[in-house]
Amino acid sequence: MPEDKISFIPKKTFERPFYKRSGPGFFLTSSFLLLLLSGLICGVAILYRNSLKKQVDLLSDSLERAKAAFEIPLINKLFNISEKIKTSKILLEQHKTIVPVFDLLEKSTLKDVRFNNFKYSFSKDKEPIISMKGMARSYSSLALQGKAFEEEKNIKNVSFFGLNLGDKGTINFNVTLVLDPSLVFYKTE
Amino acid sequence: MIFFVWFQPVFNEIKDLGAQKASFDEALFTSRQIQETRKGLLDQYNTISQENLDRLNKIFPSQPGSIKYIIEIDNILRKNGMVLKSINIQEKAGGSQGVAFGVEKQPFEIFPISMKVTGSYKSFYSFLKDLANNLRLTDINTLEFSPGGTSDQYDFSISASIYWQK
Repeated sequence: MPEDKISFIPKKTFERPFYKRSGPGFFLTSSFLLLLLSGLICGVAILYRNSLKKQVDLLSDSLERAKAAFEIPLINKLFNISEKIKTSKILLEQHKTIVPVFDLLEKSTLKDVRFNNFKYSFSKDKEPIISMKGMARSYSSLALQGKAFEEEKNIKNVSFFGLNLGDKGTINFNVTLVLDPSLVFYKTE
Repeated sequence: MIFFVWFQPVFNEIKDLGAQKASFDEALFTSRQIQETRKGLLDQYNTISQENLDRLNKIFPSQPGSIKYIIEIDNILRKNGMVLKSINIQEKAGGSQGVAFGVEKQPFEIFPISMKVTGSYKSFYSFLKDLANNLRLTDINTLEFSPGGTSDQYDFSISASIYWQK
Protein backbone atom coordinates (compact mmCIF):
# COMPACT_ATOMS: atom_id res chain seq x y z
CA MET A 1 0.00 0.00 0.00
CA PRO A 2 1.40 3.30 -0.85
CA GLU A 3 2.22 5.44 2.07
CA ASP A 4 1.13 8.55 0.55
CA LYS A 5 -2.32 9.29 1.51
CA ILE A 6 -4.61 10.64 -0.84
CA SER A 7 -5.45 14.17 0.11
CA PHE A 8 -8.16 16.42 -1.19
CA ILE A 9 -6.02 19.35 -0.47
CA PRO A 10 -4.18 20.18 -3.63
CA LYS A 11 -0.48 20.41 -3.26
CA LYS A 12 -0.24 22.89 -6.04
CA THR A 13 -2.08 26.08 -6.15
CA PHE A 14 -4.42 26.48 -9.14
CA GLU A 15 -3.17 28.91 -11.76
CA ARG A 16 -5.61 31.55 -12.81
CA PRO A 17 -6.76 30.90 -16.35
CA PHE A 18 -5.29 33.28 -18.92
CA TYR A 19 -7.72 34.67 -21.46
CA LYS A 20 -5.94 36.07 -24.54
CA ARG A 21 -7.40 39.32 -25.90
CA SER A 22 -8.73 38.61 -29.33
CA GLY A 23 -9.37 42.36 -30.43
CA PRO A 24 -12.53 43.92 -31.92
CA GLY A 25 -12.92 41.36 -34.67
CA PHE A 26 -12.99 41.53 -38.42
CA PHE A 27 -16.64 42.53 -38.94
CA LEU A 28 -16.56 45.23 -36.33
CA THR A 29 -13.37 46.71 -37.79
CA SER A 30 -14.73 46.56 -41.33
CA SER A 31 -17.97 48.17 -40.26
CA PHE A 32 -16.11 50.91 -38.45
CA LEU A 33 -13.89 51.54 -41.48
CA LEU A 34 -16.91 51.61 -43.78
CA LEU A 35 -18.63 54.06 -41.46
CA LEU A 36 -15.53 56.23 -41.48
CA LEU A 37 -15.26 56.03 -45.26
CA SER A 38 -18.95 56.83 -45.70
CA GLY A 39 -18.60 59.82 -43.42
CA LEU A 40 -15.56 60.95 -45.36
CA ILE A 41 -17.31 60.58 -48.73
CA CYS A 42 -20.37 62.39 -47.41
CA GLY A 43 -18.15 65.17 -46.09
CA VAL A 44 -16.36 65.57 -49.41
CA ALA A 45 -19.67 65.41 -51.28
CA ILE A 46 -21.18 68.11 -49.09
CA LEU A 47 -18.14 70.32 -49.60
CA TYR A 48 -18.33 69.73 -53.38
CA ARG A 49 -22.08 70.48 -53.37
CA ASN A 50 -21.51 73.72 -51.50
CA SER A 51 -18.77 74.71 -53.91
CA LEU A 52 -21.07 73.91 -56.87
CA LYS A 53 -23.84 75.99 -55.29
CA LYS A 54 -21.49 78.96 -55.01
CA GLN A 55 -20.36 78.51 -58.64
CA VAL A 56 -23.96 78.32 -59.87
CA ASP A 57 -24.85 81.47 -57.90
CA LEU A 58 -21.85 83.28 -59.37
CA LEU A 59 -22.71 82.14 -62.91
CA SER A 60 -26.31 83.21 -62.44
CA ASP A 61 -25.16 86.68 -61.35
CA SER A 62 -22.78 86.89 -64.34
CA LEU A 63 -25.58 85.89 -66.69
CA GLU A 64 -27.90 88.53 -65.25
CA ARG A 65 -25.18 91.16 -65.70
CA ALA A 66 -24.53 89.98 -69.27
CA LYS A 67 -28.27 90.15 -70.03
CA ALA A 68 -28.46 93.67 -68.68
CA ALA A 69 -25.50 94.67 -70.86
CA PHE A 70 -27.22 93.37 -74.01
CA GLU A 71 -29.56 96.38 -74.35
CA ILE A 72 -32.24 94.31 -76.07
CA PRO A 73 -33.93 97.32 -77.80
CA LEU A 74 -30.57 98.29 -79.32
CA ILE A 75 -29.96 94.72 -80.52
CA ASN A 76 -33.45 94.66 -82.07
CA LYS A 77 -32.79 97.96 -83.81
CA LEU A 78 -29.40 96.78 -85.13
CA PHE A 79 -30.89 93.48 -86.26
CA ASN A 80 -33.70 95.31 -88.01
CA ILE A 81 -31.28 97.58 -89.88
CA SER A 82 -29.10 94.62 -90.80
CA GLU A 83 -32.14 92.76 -92.21
CA LYS A 84 -33.20 95.89 -94.04
CA ILE A 85 -29.79 96.20 -95.72
CA LYS A 86 -29.83 92.53 -96.74
CA THR A 87 -33.35 92.70 -98.17
CA SER A 88 -32.72 96.02 -99.90
CA LYS A 89 -29.73 94.43 -101.65
CA ILE A 90 -31.96 91.58 -102.87
CA LEU A 91 -34.64 94.01 -104.05
CA LEU A 92 -32.13 96.26 -105.81
CA GLU A 93 -30.54 93.27 -107.55
CA GLN A 94 -33.98 92.32 -108.87
CA HIS A 95 -35.22 95.82 -109.59
CA LYS A 96 -36.49 96.10 -113.15
CA THR A 97 -37.03 98.94 -115.55
CA ILE A 98 -38.87 98.99 -118.83
CA VAL A 99 -36.85 101.93 -120.24
CA PRO A 100 -34.31 99.70 -122.11
CA VAL A 101 -37.24 97.97 -123.85
CA PHE A 102 -38.35 101.28 -125.40
CA ASP A 103 -34.73 102.11 -126.28
CA LEU A 104 -34.46 98.75 -128.07
CA LEU A 105 -37.73 99.29 -129.98
CA GLU A 106 -36.75 102.83 -131.01
CA LYS A 107 -33.43 101.53 -132.27
CA SER A 108 -34.74 98.54 -134.18
CA THR A 109 -38.03 99.83 -135.65
CA LEU A 110 -37.79 100.68 -139.35
CA LYS A 111 -39.20 103.87 -140.89
CA ASP A 112 -41.80 102.01 -142.92
CA VAL A 113 -43.25 100.29 -139.86
CA ARG A 114 -45.31 101.69 -137.01
CA PHE A 115 -46.88 100.23 -133.94
CA ASN A 116 -50.18 101.32 -132.48
CA ASN A 117 -50.72 98.97 -129.59
CA PHE A 118 -48.26 97.78 -126.99
CA LYS A 119 -48.40 95.16 -124.25
CA TYR A 120 -45.52 94.25 -121.92
CA SER A 121 -45.65 91.29 -119.53
CA PHE A 122 -43.62 88.37 -118.19
CA SER A 123 -43.82 84.71 -119.22
CA LYS A 124 -44.00 81.84 -116.72
CA ASP A 125 -40.22 81.56 -117.11
CA LYS A 126 -39.95 85.23 -116.13
CA GLU A 127 -38.91 86.33 -119.59
CA PRO A 128 -40.17 89.76 -120.67
CA ILE A 129 -42.64 89.54 -123.56
CA ILE A 130 -43.83 92.33 -125.82
CA SER A 131 -46.97 91.93 -127.90
CA MET A 132 -47.73 94.66 -130.43
CA LYS A 133 -50.12 95.42 -133.23
CA GLY A 134 -48.51 97.21 -136.13
CA MET A 135 -48.71 98.40 -139.68
CA ALA A 136 -46.07 98.08 -142.42
CA ARG A 137 -45.94 99.82 -145.80
CA SER A 138 -45.45 96.51 -147.62
CA TYR A 139 -44.64 92.85 -147.12
CA SER A 140 -41.00 93.55 -147.94
CA SER A 141 -40.92 96.25 -145.25
CA LEU A 142 -42.35 93.73 -142.81
CA ALA A 143 -39.74 91.14 -143.83
CA LEU A 144 -36.99 93.70 -143.24
CA GLN A 145 -38.50 94.53 -139.85
CA GLY A 146 -38.49 90.83 -138.95
CA LYS A 147 -34.83 90.63 -139.92
CA ALA A 148 -33.99 93.71 -137.83
CA PHE A 149 -35.65 92.14 -134.77
CA GLU A 150 -33.90 88.83 -135.33
CA GLU A 151 -30.52 90.52 -135.52
CA GLU A 152 -31.07 92.21 -132.17
CA LYS A 153 -29.19 90.21 -129.51
CA ASN A 154 -31.60 91.10 -126.70
CA ILE A 155 -34.56 89.65 -128.61
CA LYS A 156 -34.63 85.90 -128.08
CA ASN A 157 -37.65 85.09 -130.19
CA VAL A 158 -39.73 86.90 -132.84
CA SER A 159 -43.08 85.71 -134.09
CA PHE A 160 -45.37 87.54 -136.54
CA PHE A 161 -48.98 86.49 -136.93
CA GLY A 162 -52.37 87.78 -138.09
CA LEU A 163 -51.00 89.38 -141.25
CA ASN A 164 -53.65 91.01 -143.42
CA LEU A 165 -53.93 93.66 -146.09
CA GLY A 166 -55.17 97.03 -144.88
CA ASP A 167 -57.36 99.63 -146.60
CA LYS A 168 -54.58 101.61 -148.22
CA GLY A 169 -52.46 98.66 -149.25
CA THR A 170 -50.62 98.60 -145.95
CA ILE A 171 -50.02 95.37 -144.07
CA ASN A 172 -51.54 94.96 -140.61
CA PHE A 173 -49.79 92.49 -138.34
CA ASN A 174 -49.29 91.28 -134.80
CA VAL A 175 -45.85 90.56 -133.39
CA THR A 176 -44.61 88.96 -130.19
CA LEU A 177 -41.06 89.46 -128.99
CA VAL A 178 -39.47 87.43 -126.21
CA LEU A 179 -36.68 89.45 -124.63
CA ASP A 180 -33.54 88.55 -122.74
CA PRO A 181 -34.37 88.99 -118.99
CA SER A 182 -31.05 90.78 -118.40
CA LEU A 183 -32.29 93.65 -120.60
CA VAL A 184 -34.80 94.83 -118.00
CA PHE A 185 -32.61 94.59 -114.89
CA TYR A 186 -31.95 98.02 -113.48
CA LYS A 187 -28.41 99.28 -113.99
CA THR A 188 -27.05 102.51 -112.53
CA GLU A 189 -26.16 104.96 -115.25
CA MET B 1 -27.36 52.82 -44.13
CA ILE B 2 -25.91 56.24 -43.28
CA PHE B 3 -24.29 56.24 -46.69
CA PHE B 4 -27.58 55.82 -48.49
CA VAL B 5 -29.62 58.06 -46.22
CA TRP B 6 -27.08 60.90 -46.41
CA PHE B 7 -25.30 60.44 -49.64
CA GLN B 8 -28.17 59.76 -52.04
CA PRO B 9 -29.89 63.20 -51.64
CA VAL B 10 -26.52 64.97 -51.73
CA PHE B 11 -25.54 63.03 -54.81
CA ASN B 12 -28.85 63.95 -56.49
CA GLU B 13 -28.32 67.60 -55.58
CA ILE B 14 -24.77 67.48 -57.01
CA LYS B 15 -26.17 66.00 -60.21
CA ASP B 16 -28.78 68.77 -60.50
CA LEU B 17 -26.30 71.50 -59.68
CA GLY B 18 -23.85 70.06 -62.23
CA ALA B 19 -26.53 70.17 -64.93
CA GLN B 20 -27.48 73.71 -63.88
CA LYS B 21 -23.84 74.80 -64.03
CA ALA B 22 -23.43 73.27 -67.49
CA SER B 23 -26.50 75.13 -68.78
CA PHE B 24 -25.29 78.40 -67.23
CA ASP B 25 -21.87 77.87 -68.82
CA GLU B 26 -23.55 77.35 -72.19
CA ALA B 27 -25.76 80.41 -71.71
CA LEU B 28 -22.74 82.52 -70.80
CA PHE B 29 -20.89 81.26 -73.88
CA THR B 30 -23.91 82.19 -76.03
CA SER B 31 -24.13 85.58 -74.33
CA ARG B 32 -20.48 86.22 -75.16
CA GLN B 33 -21.21 85.36 -78.80
CA ILE B 34 -24.21 87.72 -78.76
CA GLN B 35 -22.03 90.45 -77.28
CA GLU B 36 -19.51 89.98 -80.11
CA THR B 37 -22.28 90.06 -82.75
CA ARG B 38 -23.77 93.14 -81.07
CA LYS B 39 -20.39 94.86 -81.12
CA GLY B 40 -19.91 93.99 -84.80
CA LEU B 41 -23.38 95.25 -85.71
CA LEU B 42 -22.93 98.42 -83.65
CA ASP B 43 -19.58 99.13 -85.37
CA GLN B 44 -21.29 98.62 -88.75
CA TYR B 45 -24.23 100.79 -87.74
CA ASN B 46 -21.95 103.61 -86.63
CA THR B 47 -20.37 103.73 -90.10
CA ILE B 48 -23.77 104.40 -91.76
CA SER B 49 -24.57 108.08 -92.13
CA GLN B 50 -28.04 109.42 -91.27
CA GLU B 51 -28.50 110.33 -94.94
CA ASN B 52 -27.91 106.74 -95.99
CA LEU B 53 -30.22 105.46 -93.25
CA ASP B 54 -32.95 107.74 -94.61
CA ARG B 55 -32.31 106.40 -98.11
CA LEU B 56 -32.46 102.83 -96.81
CA ASN B 57 -35.78 103.55 -95.11
CA LYS B 58 -37.10 104.95 -98.36
CA ILE B 59 -35.96 101.97 -100.45
CA PHE B 60 -37.41 99.52 -97.95
CA PRO B 61 -39.84 101.25 -95.58
CA SER B 62 -41.07 99.76 -92.31
CA GLN B 63 -44.61 100.95 -93.04
CA PRO B 64 -46.64 100.44 -96.21
CA GLY B 65 -46.99 104.21 -96.68
CA SER B 66 -49.53 103.86 -99.52
CA ILE B 67 -50.75 107.47 -99.40
CA LYS B 68 -47.18 108.75 -99.38
CA TYR B 69 -46.46 106.54 -102.41
CA ILE B 70 -49.50 107.83 -104.32
CA ILE B 71 -48.43 111.44 -103.65
CA GLU B 72 -44.90 110.59 -104.81
CA ILE B 73 -46.15 108.98 -108.05
CA ASP B 74 -48.45 111.91 -108.72
CA ASN B 75 -45.54 114.33 -108.26
CA ILE B 76 -43.35 112.39 -110.69
CA LEU B 77 -46.19 112.28 -113.24
CA ARG B 78 -46.91 116.02 -112.88
CA LYS B 79 -43.21 116.80 -113.24
CA ASN B 80 -43.30 114.99 -116.60
CA GLY B 81 -46.56 116.57 -117.75
CA MET B 82 -48.70 113.50 -117.24
CA VAL B 83 -52.03 112.89 -115.51
CA LEU B 84 -52.79 110.17 -112.97
CA LYS B 85 -56.27 108.98 -113.90
CA SER B 86 -56.59 106.22 -111.31
CA ILE B 87 -54.46 104.23 -108.88
CA ASN B 88 -55.23 101.22 -106.74
CA ILE B 89 -52.96 99.69 -104.10
CA GLN B 90 -54.01 96.33 -102.74
CA GLU B 91 -52.79 96.36 -99.18
CA LYS B 92 -53.00 92.72 -98.29
CA ALA B 93 -51.51 90.85 -95.39
CA GLY B 94 -49.68 87.54 -95.63
CA GLY B 95 -46.33 86.35 -96.93
CA SER B 96 -44.58 87.84 -99.87
CA GLN B 97 -45.50 86.66 -103.33
CA GLY B 98 -42.37 87.59 -105.20
CA VAL B 99 -43.51 85.46 -108.13
CA ALA B 100 -43.02 88.06 -110.78
CA PHE B 101 -39.52 88.78 -109.54
CA GLY B 102 -38.26 85.32 -108.84
CA VAL B 103 -38.22 85.87 -105.08
CA GLU B 104 -40.13 83.61 -102.76
CA LYS B 105 -40.58 83.56 -98.98
CA GLN B 106 -38.59 86.73 -98.43
CA PRO B 107 -38.94 88.94 -95.37
CA PHE B 108 -40.89 91.58 -97.22
CA GLU B 109 -44.43 92.30 -98.16
CA ILE B 110 -45.43 93.01 -101.75
CA PHE B 111 -48.21 95.42 -102.61
CA PRO B 112 -49.61 94.95 -106.09
CA ILE B 113 -50.57 98.29 -107.57
CA SER B 114 -52.42 99.22 -110.71
CA MET B 115 -52.71 102.67 -112.25
CA LYS B 116 -53.90 104.42 -115.36
CA VAL B 117 -52.04 107.47 -116.62
CA THR B 118 -52.38 109.70 -119.66
CA GLY B 119 -49.82 111.66 -121.59
CA SER B 120 -47.52 111.69 -124.58
CA TYR B 121 -45.08 108.90 -125.32
CA LYS B 122 -42.14 111.23 -124.70
CA SER B 123 -43.52 112.23 -121.27
CA PHE B 124 -44.20 108.62 -120.40
CA TYR B 125 -40.66 107.61 -121.35
CA SER B 126 -39.32 110.34 -119.08
CA PHE B 127 -41.69 109.26 -116.29
CA LEU B 128 -40.45 105.66 -116.58
CA LYS B 129 -36.86 106.87 -116.22
CA ASP B 130 -37.72 108.81 -113.06
CA LEU B 131 -39.70 105.87 -111.72
CA ALA B 132 -36.76 103.51 -112.23
CA ASN B 133 -34.41 105.89 -110.42
CA ASN B 134 -36.86 106.61 -107.61
CA LEU B 135 -35.70 105.34 -104.21
CA ARG B 136 -39.06 103.76 -103.41
CA LEU B 137 -38.73 100.75 -105.70
CA THR B 138 -41.48 100.10 -108.23
CA ASP B 139 -41.21 97.03 -110.44
CA ILE B 140 -43.51 97.07 -113.45
CA ASN B 141 -45.13 93.69 -114.12
CA THR B 142 -47.36 94.60 -117.03
CA LEU B 143 -47.83 97.66 -119.21
CA GLU B 144 -50.37 98.24 -121.90
CA PHE B 145 -51.07 101.28 -124.00
CA SER B 146 -52.86 102.34 -127.08
CA PRO B 147 -53.51 105.70 -128.73
CA GLY B 148 -55.86 107.98 -126.76
CA GLY B 149 -58.28 110.64 -127.98
CA THR B 150 -55.79 113.05 -129.48
CA SER B 151 -52.94 112.06 -131.76
CA ASP B 152 -50.07 112.44 -129.30
CA GLN B 153 -51.93 111.26 -126.20
CA TYR B 154 -51.89 107.68 -124.94
CA ASP B 155 -53.65 105.88 -122.12
CA PHE B 156 -51.16 103.77 -120.18
CA SER B 157 -52.26 100.92 -117.89
CA ILE B 158 -49.60 99.79 -115.48
CA SER B 159 -49.55 96.99 -112.94
CA ALA B 160 -46.56 96.92 -110.66
CA SER B 161 -45.25 95.86 -107.25
CA ILE B 162 -43.95 97.91 -104.36
CA TYR B 163 -42.38 96.58 -101.18
CA TRP B 164 -42.23 97.17 -97.47
CA GLN B 165 -40.66 95.41 -94.50
CA LYS B 166 -42.85 92.85 -92.73
